[in-house]
Amino acid sequence: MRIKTLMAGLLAAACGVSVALAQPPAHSDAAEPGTETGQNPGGGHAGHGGGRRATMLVLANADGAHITYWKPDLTRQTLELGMMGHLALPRTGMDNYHAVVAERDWGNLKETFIRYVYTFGKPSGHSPAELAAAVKTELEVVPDPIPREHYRYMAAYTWSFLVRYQGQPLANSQVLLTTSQGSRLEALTDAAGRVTFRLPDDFPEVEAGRENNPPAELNVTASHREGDREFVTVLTAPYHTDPSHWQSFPTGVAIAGAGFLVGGLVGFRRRHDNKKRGSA
Amino acid sequence: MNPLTNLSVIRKLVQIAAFAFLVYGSVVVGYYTADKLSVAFPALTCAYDMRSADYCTLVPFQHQMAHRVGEAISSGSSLLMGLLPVVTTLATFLLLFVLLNKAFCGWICPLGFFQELLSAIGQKLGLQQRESVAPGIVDRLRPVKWIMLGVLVFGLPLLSGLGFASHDLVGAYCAICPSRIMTTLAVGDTSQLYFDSANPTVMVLSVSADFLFGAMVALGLTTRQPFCRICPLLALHAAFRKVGLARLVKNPSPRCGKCGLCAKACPIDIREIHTTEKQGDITFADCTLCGRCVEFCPDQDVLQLKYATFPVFSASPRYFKQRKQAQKRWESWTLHGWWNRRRSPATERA
Repeated sequence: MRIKTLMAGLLAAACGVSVALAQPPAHSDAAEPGTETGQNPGGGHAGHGGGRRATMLVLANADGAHITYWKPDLTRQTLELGMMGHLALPRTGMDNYHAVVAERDWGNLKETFIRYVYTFGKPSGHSPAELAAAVKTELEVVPDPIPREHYRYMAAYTWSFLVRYQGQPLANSQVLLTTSQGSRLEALTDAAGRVTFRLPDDFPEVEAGRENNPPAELNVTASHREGDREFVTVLTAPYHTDPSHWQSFPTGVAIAGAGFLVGGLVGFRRRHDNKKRGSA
Repeated sequence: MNPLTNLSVIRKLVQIAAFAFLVYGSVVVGYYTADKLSVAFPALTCAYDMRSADYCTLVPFQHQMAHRVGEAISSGSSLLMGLLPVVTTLATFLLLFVLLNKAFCGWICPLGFFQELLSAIGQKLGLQQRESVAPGIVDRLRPVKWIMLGVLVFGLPLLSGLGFASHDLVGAYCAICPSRIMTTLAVGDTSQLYFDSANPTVMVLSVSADFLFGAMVALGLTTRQPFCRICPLLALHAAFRKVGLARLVKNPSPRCGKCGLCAKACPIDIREIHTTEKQGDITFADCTLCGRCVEFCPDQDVLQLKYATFPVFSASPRYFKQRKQAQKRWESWTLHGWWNRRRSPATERA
């Protein structure tokens, strides 16, 4: 099982098929899921405005790939790959997560790459849970959950993924997590097909503030053999620096403690004044 | 007194249920924003809480002021299009607000309940003050909630959207809101209690948030509802309180001028409940419709909680007597008293 997964990882690397954001906009993460709508657990904030721009992805060495664009209401659209592997995601007018599914069938091997992309528009009235639950290809790695609309993958945080084959959880399957910074983690899925990783905190140089740290890429790869047919699937997503590099919990507790002391003093003074008034 | 006929007990039960639902309710409604009840809820249910059932209405207001109104003005595009989401949020807020009016504060708000819990702990520790906050302090605090609403919820986010203020001020109120820290801690997430050193703006915001949270906890032990008095949501509620179906109604009696028990019972120290001679709807700007003034009014039907035109709960001498006794019993049990009772037999033996 381990060898099979490693092979899958190598295969993905060898094929050179990788989905990555091309030329991030000036506001570095404006076109990424979970960054547009502002609440930043890291303390910063990404703009809505940038998120309304068209999203561009790049698929390297993806000749012959069949690309399906899944909308939040689960309707689908086939996309054509542009020059140099550029893939412009059309505006659907729908708010929330969409899924880009690139499939390439080699007969005895089927490769799939999936990426969840947040785009703005009118409220779709559909939960990302529906998109995650939809069977988009034979073998897929599904975020469990997809980072909530105001959230994002972050280094040093723990995230779960489900591995599904034909819509059913794939138990005891080896899953490989690699990052564009060179980290590599492996784990086995449990009986429910779930695997959990603590994302590596592997950003080589971290500056204070999320906006000063461009996101890196993570790939979660799983494989499965059915008869003489091999399935390899990769979930790709951006992930961000751990904000604890510039946010301190102990100092926060100390400041709250100072507030507690001052609040306590104010309360004590009031009690003292009331007693004085009472005795007078 | 049967606890189930005690309005304060009923209110506590509703608050516990509302707290559990709003803070942990994603298990019921779903994890994603699209699953939430309204995303414009008229109480401080926090969007930073990954398990919340809904988001407070101040979240979309801040973001829409920055990213829709501010950007529409700065880019020269249609202001109407920029204002449309704000109007939609306001309409959603009002749809819910009409149902309970300011009772969202007194009966539903998780932070309001948390402060009542602190007050109860303070009372049991013998720290809670029975006396009302001095009228001068109450008067000085009253405008603060409007300043919070105007500056932190609308002003700074708008200036940020216009490009006149730091982008870190888009969520200026959320950045200092004690509900963000309280609700995330309640779900075991410590990521919101931090000191942020990324730049001076977030540094000031994070220090303010942590300090305010600590001060609120300490003050909550000695003073009733310290943060509610300056909460911007209380101000937003105040602006629309005339459209709410729930209301506080007064039918003044000649005895009102001498009594004043209603004002003493009020957790926000609204002394005007006692002094006003106005007949009819007296839902004051600071009122949270908790109903304590009605409970502690000794005269028949002088104070009433009404839903539209229907009286839901009215003051009565009989209820007042029972309630007063129940309150006395509740207040008589303190940790200090318990400790003294434990010590006294030993002292006698010695």
